[in-house]
Amino acid sequence: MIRIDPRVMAFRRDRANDLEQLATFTNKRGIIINQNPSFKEAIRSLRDENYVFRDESGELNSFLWGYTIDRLSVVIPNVPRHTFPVVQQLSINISIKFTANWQDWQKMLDPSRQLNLDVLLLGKKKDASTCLSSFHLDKHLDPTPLHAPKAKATVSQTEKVVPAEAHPLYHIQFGSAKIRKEKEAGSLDLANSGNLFMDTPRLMHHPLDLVLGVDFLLSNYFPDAWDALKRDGPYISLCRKYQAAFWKPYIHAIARHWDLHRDRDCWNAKNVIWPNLL
Amino acid sequence: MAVKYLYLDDDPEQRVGQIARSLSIEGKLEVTYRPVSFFKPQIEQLIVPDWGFDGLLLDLRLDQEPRADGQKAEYTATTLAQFLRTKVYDQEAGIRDFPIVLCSQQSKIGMYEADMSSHDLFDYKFPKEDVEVRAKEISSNLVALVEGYQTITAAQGNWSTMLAYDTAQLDARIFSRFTNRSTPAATHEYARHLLKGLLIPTNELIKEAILAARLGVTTTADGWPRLRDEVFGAARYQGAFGQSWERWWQPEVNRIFESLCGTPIASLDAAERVTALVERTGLTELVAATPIELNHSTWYWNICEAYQAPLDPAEGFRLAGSEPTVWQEYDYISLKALLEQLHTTELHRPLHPDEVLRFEAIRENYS
Repeated sequence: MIRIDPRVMAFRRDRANDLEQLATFTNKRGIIINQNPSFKEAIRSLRDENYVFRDESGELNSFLWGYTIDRLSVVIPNVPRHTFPVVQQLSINISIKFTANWQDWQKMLDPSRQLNLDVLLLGKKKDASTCLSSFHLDKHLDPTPLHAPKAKATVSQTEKVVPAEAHPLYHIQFGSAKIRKEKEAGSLDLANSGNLFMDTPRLMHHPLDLVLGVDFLLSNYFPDAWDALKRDGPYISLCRKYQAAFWKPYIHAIARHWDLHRDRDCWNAKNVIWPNLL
Repeated sequence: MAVKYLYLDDDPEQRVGQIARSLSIEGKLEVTYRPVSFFKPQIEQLIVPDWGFDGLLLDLRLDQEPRADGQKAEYTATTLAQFLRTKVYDQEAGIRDFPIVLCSQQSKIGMYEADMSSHDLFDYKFPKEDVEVRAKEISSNLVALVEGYQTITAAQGNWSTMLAYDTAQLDARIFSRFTNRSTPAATHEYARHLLKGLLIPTNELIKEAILAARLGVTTTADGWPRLRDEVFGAARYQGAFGQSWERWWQPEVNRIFESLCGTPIASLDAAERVTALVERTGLTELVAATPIELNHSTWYWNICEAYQAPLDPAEGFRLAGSEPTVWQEYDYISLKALLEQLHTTELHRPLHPDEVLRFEAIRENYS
């Protein structure tokens, strides 16, 4: 059995506490996320000394931490304007698969090993029929990473084909053809819906783990709750901690391209360019 | 007219009469000592509609000292309090609800602490030894309790009246226990929820040390009383028990701060909060609080209960106690106070079970 370093366990317990806290803050605003079984399991696994996380190739690695949240569903209280067709009820389903090496935490390095955040929006119309919308944020896994020796070329069915389209390392893609694979899409006649499903552009986006992902979704779909949470000091502290871990290296790496170290906040970035930045 | 408390004790007047005298304040509070009777005659005295007092002060162990006839009373304060609390719901008895306060010797209070099922019976408790050092504070609480009971009774179940605040602005779950009840709740039920649910734990109502922490300022600086009373005075809690349990409404504090400084408090660190306040209020004597030793963050939101000094909860350790409800917050202790064991020696509160391992993991770095 793999023994996990006590420092790693201490780190994992801190992250479990952070997830619990996140749920406390959203619960306070009436958004209940900790009843989802995979959310509870995520916290349990992080604290479990016998639980070892697997890397993207399925290998056990005692330095990794992460979680898998499956279809965490929350009802959106106010259907956003411009929603078409008219729906009686709208809910959001959040799924996330995330792993990272604890040693990379708050370093000037890529903060994750694996990150897939899937967001599915489910509308119920008056006649009880369903309509769907979705987007996802992915970390693009380069099949031939720079630092690893190139695998011997073998023809296997699992071998990934390097896509020709631009794949920013972290990108958001809206309403792609992926929607056809959703369980809820099974009963829908998507082919004759008048929509064209295809790979939409992969928009470069900063990474979002569960904490920052929930904050991002609250800011878009639960503006009242988000407004209240912006006044909640410990919630802000929690987000700030994850922004330092995930956004600081990302933005710094991009800014380094021009090597600009002057004019701090010259454009009021915190309030104007990026309202989520704390 | 002075508020009247009846004080029942099994100890003779020579020994405890001084407690009643120390707590009494001319024209404001009269505490009358009487030796405890046997259960039936005692109850008969207390459950008449006009029994002549506004509140009851009980010694915890009424059953220890023999009376003049050599016999001991056969019950404790919890038995008596439980009987009275239930009797209030007996409409035929028609008795008025009143505050019941517990006092005991420090050495015996452990028995009360252990018996958790009795904790909801009393509105307030204090050790007898404390009367010597803080009689004024205790007396003021006794008076506030009676006035609070009057406010609650007059409010007839309307929380906005009891709190002197528009409850539509608060989380409805705070009051859910009281909605759709088949029998109206007794005054003591409202009193308990108000004291133990809203005034004692941190929630939308905050105490002075937390108000100062959130504003980023030290309470010892000259500008503090003016900032508290003149600038944030409108956020002061005016509802039941508010004369003694001084609290501020966080949503009002937010509103005042944002209208002055144009940004939420939580978006600024302590130095930025104070700079903004000084600029907008002209109170140049205000001083930003420095972190407790071993802490670094100045994004204060709570306090270390041991030092009563500001901390960022992210750097604090949660204390155990009844688990906060959705609308309440944890109490914290700083690392420094924890290393000095102040949670045990001063606060008499263990660390929250989820924090024990975290503390153990870093403890040796400081040995």
